[in-house]
Amino acid sequence: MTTRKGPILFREIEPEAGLEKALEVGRSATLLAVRNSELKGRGGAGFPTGVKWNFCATTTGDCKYVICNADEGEPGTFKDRVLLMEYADYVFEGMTVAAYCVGAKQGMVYLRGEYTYMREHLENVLAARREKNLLGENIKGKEDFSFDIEIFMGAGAYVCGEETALIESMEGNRGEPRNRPPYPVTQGYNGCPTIVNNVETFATIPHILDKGAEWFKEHGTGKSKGSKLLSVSGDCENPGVYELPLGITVKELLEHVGGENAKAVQIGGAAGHCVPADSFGRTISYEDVSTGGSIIIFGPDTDMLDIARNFLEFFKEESCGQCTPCRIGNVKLLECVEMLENGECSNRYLKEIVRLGETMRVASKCGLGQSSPNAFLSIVENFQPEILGRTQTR
Amino acid sequence: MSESKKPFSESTSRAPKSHKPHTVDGGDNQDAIGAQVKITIDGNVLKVPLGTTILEAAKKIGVRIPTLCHHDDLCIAGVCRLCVVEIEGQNLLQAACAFPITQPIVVKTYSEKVRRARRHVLDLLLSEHYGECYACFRNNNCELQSLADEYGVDHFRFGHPTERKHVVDNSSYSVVRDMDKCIQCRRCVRTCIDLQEVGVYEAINRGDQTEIAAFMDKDLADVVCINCGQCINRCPTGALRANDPRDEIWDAIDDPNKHVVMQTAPLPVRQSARSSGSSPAPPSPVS
Repeated sequence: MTTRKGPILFREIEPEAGLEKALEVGRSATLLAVRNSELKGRGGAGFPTGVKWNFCATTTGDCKYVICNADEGEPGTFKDRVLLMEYADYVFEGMTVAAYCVGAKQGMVYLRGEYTYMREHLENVLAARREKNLLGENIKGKEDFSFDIEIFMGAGAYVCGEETALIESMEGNRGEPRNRPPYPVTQGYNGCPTIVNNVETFATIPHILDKGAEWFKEHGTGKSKGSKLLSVSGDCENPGVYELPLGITVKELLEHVGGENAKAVQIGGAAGHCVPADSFGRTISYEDVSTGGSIIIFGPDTDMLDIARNFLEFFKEESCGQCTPCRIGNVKLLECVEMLENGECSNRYLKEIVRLGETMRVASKCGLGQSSPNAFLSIVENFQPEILGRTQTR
Repeated sequence: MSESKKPFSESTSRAPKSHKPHTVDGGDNQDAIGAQVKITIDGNVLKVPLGTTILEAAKKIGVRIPTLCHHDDLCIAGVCRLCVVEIEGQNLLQAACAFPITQPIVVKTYSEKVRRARRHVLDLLLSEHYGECYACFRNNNCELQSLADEYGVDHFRFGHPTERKHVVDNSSYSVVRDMDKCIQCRRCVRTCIDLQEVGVYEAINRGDQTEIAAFMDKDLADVVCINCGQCINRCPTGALRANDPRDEIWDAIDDPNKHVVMQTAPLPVRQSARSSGSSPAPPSPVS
């Protein structure tokens, strides 16, 4: 077993060091530290966390909410599961710091339906924190700082990992993304300013506050600071969860996990990009190939059309069915894969479908539709000889 | 918070938040409410109140942006993606009906990228729209048909259904639902819940299986539909129509064993009189 220990998230840290620091230096200094660390959202979209918190902190409103997005639904992602089972305290500590910064009184964890088995464990952690006055009224003796966290169970829809669909779902509506703007930081849960962050983002916060923004910025690259949890699966010797610095090349990653003979790597799950072997020099970072943590390795015997079909079948079902490009577009892309499998797809039609995929990228309502054609398009671009010219005997 | 511009109040609306009109506040600067923002649409510069949608702004200067799920009576949906426009500096296209202007922007409503996206949306909608136009009661009076014409649809690029998927629901006295012609603009859903506050319709299922159904996927006759027909008035295609009892009436008139008494509602009589130019006859009981 290769070590998964990394420099930030899995390092040793005194419990509550981050929260104590935040309460000691005050709201604005804490916000500044998060902002200076240049931490970006770990769910995949990479929005700067400090900027998001600042928006929410400066929006006026009596009620504000902090939501932890634990709807880890991207195929091939299982890093939040590790964090929640082994490091739940840091996640809750990060949420408490966020609440302190923006002035929220209520926090929620939107827990993936399939993670129901974790609920008891998380409730126990929360109860212990309430006992220690780390949650509840006047936290750590700080007057006017009350905050509590409750757990909300999702019901299994992939699209509810999108923050506005997640909020719709929490309000008891059909899980469908909203029009943005307005963004949740100004109008979120029940119309109140709301922060929605990934589990890993919250878990990083105590470490940043403990060691300082400058220390955090020593890791990573120019635009991607810090480290990233990667959940590696597929054709490699040592699948698992790894903490690696951002900016690592795909090749280095493959050497680390024992998957050097890979044909291609899917970075960012079903919604991500398929990187072929000749591009293994690309880096895993926000400026190059961004990921929410999912790394799926395809060995030399993989049929790339099978991969495209698998992902498109997934999106066809998991689209919320609201906007036209995503609802019908994914069906057409899947039909095209079937035509390619039977050798029935003309070059002209393939070109048209690629254009349709590009339209879906720019015209869909939410991130799901905008990213669903990615895998298909990168496979068509990089594996032309393999997918074209098949015969019907297959 | 600015006041809702739509004819219903937020407090009475049971529609999901995503379907409600935007209330845009000025963020950290509350004084910004009521402020004017500069917007450039296809080279025309104008100032609009903060929070105005691109569609509303374009209407003010006579720039037409095609719409399908948008309806002036209803709250914003932003689901058909036909009204997408290009905003300078943004890679993503934005739905003009749903994008509130909060900062100065430069909008292109008819660029190559926009035209192609609109054509794709129409081609996709037509690939699921069953039926032949000339055998449809909405022929020449159909929003989908005229948009297809406007964007030069001359063949079904992504196919066209040849078989029915749904049974026509003609259980109701007044509304006939042909869901094979439905393009899921959700106008009927919003009409029913927001204007009539009944809430008969809702989207069911997910992904490509999504469809608009009456409550619990029942026949329309078995739910609390009040037969007002407001959904028919707002349907852009032939998916919803009024039950046409003409044949039954003729049968009754032609039946020698029947004594037929006819009574017309006063409003249609006056309306048809007005439209033909004669003075409206006073409503009188028919003997």
